[in-house]
Amino acid sequence: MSDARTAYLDKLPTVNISRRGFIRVATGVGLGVASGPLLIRRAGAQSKQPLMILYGVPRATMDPQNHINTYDESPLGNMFENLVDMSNPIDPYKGWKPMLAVSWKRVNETTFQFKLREKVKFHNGEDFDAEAVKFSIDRLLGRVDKNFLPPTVAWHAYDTIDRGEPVDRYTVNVITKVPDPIVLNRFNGFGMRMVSPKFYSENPTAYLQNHANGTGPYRFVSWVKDGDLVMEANQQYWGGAPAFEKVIIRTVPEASTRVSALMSGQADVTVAVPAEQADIINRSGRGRVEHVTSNRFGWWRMNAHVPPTNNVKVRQAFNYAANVGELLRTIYSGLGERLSTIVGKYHFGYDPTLPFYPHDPDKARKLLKESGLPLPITVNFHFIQGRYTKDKDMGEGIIGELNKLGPEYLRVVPKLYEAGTFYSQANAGKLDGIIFNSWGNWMFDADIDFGPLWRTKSTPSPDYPNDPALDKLVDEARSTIDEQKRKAIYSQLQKMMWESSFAIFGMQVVDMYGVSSRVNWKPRPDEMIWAKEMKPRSA
Amino acid sequence: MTRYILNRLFQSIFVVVGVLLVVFVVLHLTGDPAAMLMPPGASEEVMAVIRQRYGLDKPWPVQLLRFFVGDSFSSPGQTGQTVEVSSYGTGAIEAKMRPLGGAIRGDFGDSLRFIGQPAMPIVLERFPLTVQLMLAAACYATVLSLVLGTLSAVRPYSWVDQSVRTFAILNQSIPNFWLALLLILVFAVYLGVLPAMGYGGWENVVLPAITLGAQSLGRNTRLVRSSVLECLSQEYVRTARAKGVPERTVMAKHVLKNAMMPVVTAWALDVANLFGGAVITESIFGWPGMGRLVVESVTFRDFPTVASAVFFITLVFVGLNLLVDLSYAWLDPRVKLA
Repeated sequence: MSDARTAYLDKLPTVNISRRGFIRVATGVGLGVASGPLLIRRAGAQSKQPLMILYGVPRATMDPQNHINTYDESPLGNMFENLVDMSNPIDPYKGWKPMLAVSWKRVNETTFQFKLREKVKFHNGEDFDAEAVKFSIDRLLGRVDKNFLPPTVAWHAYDTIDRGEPVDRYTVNVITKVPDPIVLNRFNGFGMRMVSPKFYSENPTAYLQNHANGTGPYRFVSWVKDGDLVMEANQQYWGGAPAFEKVIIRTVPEASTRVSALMSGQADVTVAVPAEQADIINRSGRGRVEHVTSNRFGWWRMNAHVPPTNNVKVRQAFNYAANVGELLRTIYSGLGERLSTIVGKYHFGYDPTLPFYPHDPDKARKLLKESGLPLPITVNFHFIQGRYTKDKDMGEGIIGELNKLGPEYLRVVPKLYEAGTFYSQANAGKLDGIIFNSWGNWMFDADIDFGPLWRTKSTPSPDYPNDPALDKLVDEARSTIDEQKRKAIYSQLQKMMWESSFAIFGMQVVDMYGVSSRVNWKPRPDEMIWAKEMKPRSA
Repeated sequence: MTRYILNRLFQSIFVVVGVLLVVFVVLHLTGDPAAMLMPPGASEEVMAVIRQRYGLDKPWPVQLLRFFVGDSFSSPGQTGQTVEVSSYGTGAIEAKMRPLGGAIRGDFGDSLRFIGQPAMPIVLERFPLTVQLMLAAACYATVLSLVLGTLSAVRPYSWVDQSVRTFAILNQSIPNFWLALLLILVFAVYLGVLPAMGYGGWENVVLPAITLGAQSLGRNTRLVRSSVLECLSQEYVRTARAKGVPERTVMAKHVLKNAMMPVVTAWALDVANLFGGAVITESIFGWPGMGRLVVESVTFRDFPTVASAVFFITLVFVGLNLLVDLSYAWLDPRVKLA
């Protein structure tokens, strides 16, 4: 540094801090700040250990009418309730049972009547009655707040519903725009959870995303984004106070940590246990693994708009070659249930009579030859990892089986994505070839399997060549009240799908939960993890 | 001095703008956020409303401009316009675009994952938890590395030195996530003395801090060792010993103080590593800090939140680096800033 420069610096006003002083203060501040958080202890320990439930993915909202994911719906089901609930095991024909409604009947083709449970209160003291039902419907349909953009489930799952009409204090009619055979099913959650009129019309949107007020067995205490959702028992719950006083729902993305937390007694229930760790848990004496065939099912759809999968013989060849049955036996250790359709086995209209495509590589090769395409055929295979049990392994298994046809016939190009990229591409309709797909629906009805995914009007454009015949059948089934007629239509539809082989048919996914020794609980197939269904094991 | 600071601040602006440009391009290349928000089955009409709401329907130069300066120089447009959506219960919903503040005001719009909430406050809310983790890790690494490094420098090539150096190398080379899983297994599952996951109490900080601090503990231990060794061979140490100054005083007053300089530099560089490590550590221990927020937001294509977080982290880094550079002058009178 030049002297001139130094002279200039000397003239500048200086702050006199001695070196030693600076070091001393800096060290003190550093240590103070660092140790501060360590000294702040949590508030007094709970008299009863809270029930700790672990998820792998975080919550996005506390607003039951403003989300589209099961992992949001399930925690919210502890605080909010539906008019009806589904029994476990699921029976889409006779399984519906009362929740906030005690009985229901169809008045005519477009009117459905609910009798409500009396003297139920929301957590903030508001009464639950016919007006609250009307309000909940109005809010979901965007009549309460123009700025409230409901999630898309509302766009296709509730587009038949016109309004709620209170008859008396505890009777409400639901009026539909068209004859709707599954009004009842539509009141099983996802947007149709009951919210209180005052609380949800007086508070701003952002507040409502972070606070909850329902009629459920648990009341909202606090929520940290990507952190803990804390709830306490609602002592006035109409079904009797739940067994556990305090429930914490925590997000731990890493599966091994979730298992360790269960084995160290820190957690009581954890989702998505990796199959290879099931034995460790069962042998530990600290917990057990409960598995259930999920309401979620998977398949690999084939884009029928672009080559090579726009050729029906090619699509059929893939189904003969995929060997799904054997893969399920090896990858799912025999736990997965194979499907031969794109309607879930728990859903109204599921046709169990459709045969599985047998594993027949010779027939597959023959079909590829007959397709008229130049051999070898090249096809993209799009799949993801980390979303559902063994999704990547199944994908790799099918790629392996297809490639066994031989390089002179077929070349499969694996395209593995992280979930975010995959869904933004898939939902924008940008993928060709073979595409992983999974689906579940809380109405347990084939309409919700066909409507959003296979109708011409769906976005992205569905993977069959837009077929007016199929559209007509889907719409017909939607507006037919007669159960037998509907069933027949869905069978016909599934037969069409099977013959045209629009998908490599897959399986019902298996859900594996880890449950601690201090809790009695049988998981539900619909991914709803509700604390009220858990009881302490008598010590 | 003042000119130096002004110069550095001026350079920082370019750094921040550059980083934001990269974020904008990368996020816009990897898919349509509207498609992410909507499950399959949403009609094109609805998608259009969504795009309009978030200003995603505008040409990208306009989006870029809004990103940086917000709606300062343009009218937001379409405010309050309602769109008829025929497939929907009520028909009309608002595709109102919220006026944006842009980067110059630190406002990148509403989060797409946490509907209807401005993104920046969400980021700021999560920052303290990550800082807590980073500070705990930094303290653990600094204190332990000073002790161990000095021990092995005082007795070079003894068994103490050998074991410390092995320990340091292990800490440096074990992958974070694997160390975390081992710690959980030993301390939570087998011994049951510390929680396997979570946040809130001091006991929750221990394992994540050990995991996160491992890298810098290893590096700094070796650094302290070599730095102390070097000081021990200096003439002023020999002079002090010749004068009969007690060994403890020699170490504390003459050696350690002078050996601190490289450690302080390393500590400043560690901050960046700690931030990077925090992403993995937070995911494994279920710690709801900023690293997790960024990962979840990227997965969800929550563009405003990612931009807010990156913007904020960049500012923190630039500020910290400036502070470190300035502190040299105070720590060592021989350093002059120019």
